[in-house]
Amino acid sequence: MALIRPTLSELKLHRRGLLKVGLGALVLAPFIRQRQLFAQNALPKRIIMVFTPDSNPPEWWPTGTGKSFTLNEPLLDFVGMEDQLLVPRRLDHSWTYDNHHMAGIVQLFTGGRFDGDENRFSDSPSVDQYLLQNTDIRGETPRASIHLGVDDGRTDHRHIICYSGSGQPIAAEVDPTRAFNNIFGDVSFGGEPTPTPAPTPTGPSVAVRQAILDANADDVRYLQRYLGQEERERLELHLDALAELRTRVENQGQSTVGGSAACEEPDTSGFSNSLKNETTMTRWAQINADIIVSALACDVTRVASYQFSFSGGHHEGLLGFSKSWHDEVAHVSQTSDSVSVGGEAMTTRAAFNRFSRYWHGHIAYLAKRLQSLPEGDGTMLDNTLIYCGVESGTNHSHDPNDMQYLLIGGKNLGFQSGQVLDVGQTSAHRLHVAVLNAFGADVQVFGSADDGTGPLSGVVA
Amino acid sequence: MSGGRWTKLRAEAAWPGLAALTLAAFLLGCSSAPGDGAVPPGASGGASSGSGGATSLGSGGSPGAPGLEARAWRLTHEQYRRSVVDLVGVEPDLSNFTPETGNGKFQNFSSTAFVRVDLAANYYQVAQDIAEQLTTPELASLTTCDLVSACQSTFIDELGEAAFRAPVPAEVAARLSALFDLAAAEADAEAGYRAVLTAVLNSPLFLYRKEIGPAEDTTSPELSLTAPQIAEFLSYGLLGGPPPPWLRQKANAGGLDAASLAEVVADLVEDQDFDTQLQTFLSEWLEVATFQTVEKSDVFPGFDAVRPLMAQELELFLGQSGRKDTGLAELLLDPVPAVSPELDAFYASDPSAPEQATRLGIIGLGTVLASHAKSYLTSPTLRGLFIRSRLFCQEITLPQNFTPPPLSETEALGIAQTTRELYERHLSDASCSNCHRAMDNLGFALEAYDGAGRVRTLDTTQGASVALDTTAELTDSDVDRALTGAGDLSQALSESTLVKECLARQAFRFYFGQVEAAPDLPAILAGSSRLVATDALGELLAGLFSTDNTFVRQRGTN
Repeated sequence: MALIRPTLSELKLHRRGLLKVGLGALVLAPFIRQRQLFAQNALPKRIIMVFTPDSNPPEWWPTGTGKSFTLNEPLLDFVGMEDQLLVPRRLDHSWTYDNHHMAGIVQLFTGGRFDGDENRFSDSPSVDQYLLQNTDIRGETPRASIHLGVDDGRTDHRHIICYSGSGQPIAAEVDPTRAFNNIFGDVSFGGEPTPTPAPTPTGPSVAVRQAILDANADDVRYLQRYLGQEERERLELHLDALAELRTRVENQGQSTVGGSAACEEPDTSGFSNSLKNETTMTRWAQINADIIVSALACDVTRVASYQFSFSGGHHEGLLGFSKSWHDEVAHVSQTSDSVSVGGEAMTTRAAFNRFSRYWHGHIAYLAKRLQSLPEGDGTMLDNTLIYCGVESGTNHSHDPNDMQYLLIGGKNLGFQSGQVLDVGQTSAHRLHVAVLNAFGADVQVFGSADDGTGPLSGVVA
Repeated sequence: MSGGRWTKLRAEAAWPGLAALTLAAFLLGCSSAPGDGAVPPGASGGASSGSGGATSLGSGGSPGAPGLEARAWRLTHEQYRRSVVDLVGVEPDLSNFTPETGNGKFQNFSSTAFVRVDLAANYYQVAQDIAEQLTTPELASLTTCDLVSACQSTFIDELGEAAFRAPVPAEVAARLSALFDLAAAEADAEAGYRAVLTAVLNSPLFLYRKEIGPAEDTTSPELSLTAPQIAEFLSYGLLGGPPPPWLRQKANAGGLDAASLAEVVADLVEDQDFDTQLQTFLSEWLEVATFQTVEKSDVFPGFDAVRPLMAQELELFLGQSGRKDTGLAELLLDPVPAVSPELDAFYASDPSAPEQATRLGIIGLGTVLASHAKSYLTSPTLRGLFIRSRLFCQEITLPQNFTPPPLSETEALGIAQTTRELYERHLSDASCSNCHRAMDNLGFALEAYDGAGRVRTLDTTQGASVALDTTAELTDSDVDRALTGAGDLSQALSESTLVKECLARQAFRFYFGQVEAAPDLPAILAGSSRLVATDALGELLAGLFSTDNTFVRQRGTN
């Protein structure tokens, strides 16, 4: 696999991230350990954050504990992959608000709180972005992260799972065509590595292009002089973006991306943006999963997020249920009633199980695709953590308790998969700390709402 | 779970004559109400734009009211498009632009207008494409001097000032000059000009509206915007595009200051683009962003086919009733214009539709009725919530650690015979009724319009066929009353001072790109008082932009 990007060869520690933790030297320490671990085979480490809506029924929890467990309907599509699953129970969010739909998704992967009353975004970065800012997870890949969704394109806080900082949401791309164009613009799929296209003969030279971007960056800094901290930080994102563009310009005609057999062009045909049609939604989900897998296989990025719908979505008409899944299935979830799903009578609990399986089937597709791709002595899934969560406690409780997180893969990162891990009642933020530690971030606390009790034991070797 | 009690808070009147306005600070539901300046329980400190520091008072305002913060406010994609066209006369290709990031209130808030790498790449590509594709005469038309001669300094100054809507800062000019030299040395002078054009189009001084004060002052905690910055703020706000030539000339000639502000704003209200921008605001205010993608045809046959006609209906209605010389009376009570026989037929396609049905005002629009409903049903809750939050500025929030009870067997088993009956279950449960009472009771008045906006006299959605009951009750307002049907509701809303005051707050959010740190900001007070006095939207905006909130800024913490 070709991944040559000489100008990003130095470890790019995010300056804001280091400033925030104020412990740059300490942050470097775990890198050494992780590098030693991965130096044995020089394999990349990756993370995919996944969100599914409306929580899951009690049957989502496997029957049994420890390494002996049986999957129930919601996770049946993972049968045969039990050794890749890590199911920690019983985790709570540390704060709530309203019916937890907002508070749940805001702290889901950030451990944070609202950043204020204007937007109610998270005041903390999400796990994936923290890793990008404070570890070497990115390597020399051209894109820091990619974010895809099967959603309606809205970007308020109920639709956001990733943040680069306080009040800095990263919206998911819901148009696969636009995602493809942005992600794979310089990629040569399959076969031998080939250089990225050289600058067009009629365009400005590399030096001029870089000078333009340098001038633009200096203009951003000029504006920053006049602004308070919050505004300056927002412009830091623009500076980061210009730096990324400068690197792309520098590498044009020199570097290669992709070019390996595993770097296949994803098929984006058959897309429809219907959020009611089960068949086309499944196709949409597959397209997104294939884009993510190709982006990882081509080493375009090592960090992705993938979300379905949004916190508190109603999914009216999906799966042959004409009404609101939120209101009349998840919110009811009884075992002695009856609703019609696709013409089939079943209890609301049974319907909830079917609903939950629908989403997890898409995740299983992603996991199986990664598992099908050899890498080193194992598969890509061994070097990739799929980190899944929902916004509400078990059985759509609208409360912050018994949160359903699921970890898939990542064996080479030390994740102790293949178990239902009974952790006792504790904070979900400790799980984030454990995940961060596995990727080399030497933290004991994560997010503004964390109480600081360190990593969850038993998650990582 | 007690669910708490209705909390109706009356904020301290911070300024004489604010009694009515403070009524708008109702905290409906059981908890605090973000948007009224309260800090939600999960907030990490309540930091919000504009907080902190007292502002100087210009044309009236609340002593001690928080000032607005200095900022760089990225152009929306539409503002960017218009700015490019205005500068170089070329329509940019925005097809690959990443969508705007909004916060659910309005799409143009400065706090959500980031430039991440994909958008930065979009900007650069447009800039380079334009710079490379302009013919030599077109390039020459960007300056008054002859490109053949040595006029790089003039080119930079003239192009830069036109693009940045302000004189080019010396250090920026120096950078552009160095860039010119580099590109010209590699090829020729024309390459230098093209490189400068690329840099100018990709500069944050072009891409952002600047609210930063004079160049020589980077430290004062409070600042006044320069005349070009005021012109930029006024023009993008009121007209949706870059300052027209007359406004630039006025700013450059020193004719735009606190003393002349009201006069300039009045002139802008008369501009031909004013109503277009106003209608953009009104459309976002109505929260119909999801209308283009909402799926209802499986339950309401023909919905997809008439969707464009409904959008046209909205456009026609706002064009007719959302102008500078109209007000809430027209927005709420004007008849909805007929668009086409096809749409009329769709609206009358329910078997129980009456022969005659008059649709009045914004709550009679198909886009509004269909957007604020479930895809298969009406939703008295969603419709009521829309009215509470967007027309009354009343936020419905639940108490901390509130867990809604499971739905009753009645709901689960579908025993309810009508949608109203289904939703009335909320009112029989104390923990639900605390919040649903205020929402559902408004939504009941709109039950004569189904989930797609069709008219009906019978409710058959639960399987039975029952005559509709559109009686309702408007509470927690300044026009409380019993209602029957949408017409009564529209009439009541049109009489409400709270609704006018709320519209001023909503206008502030859109036109100033932020949530108000306090409801008594001078701009809101001025806009509100003029709307209340005249019921003219042009007056609302003239007031909104004519206070020191237009030109005074706080630097923010360092």
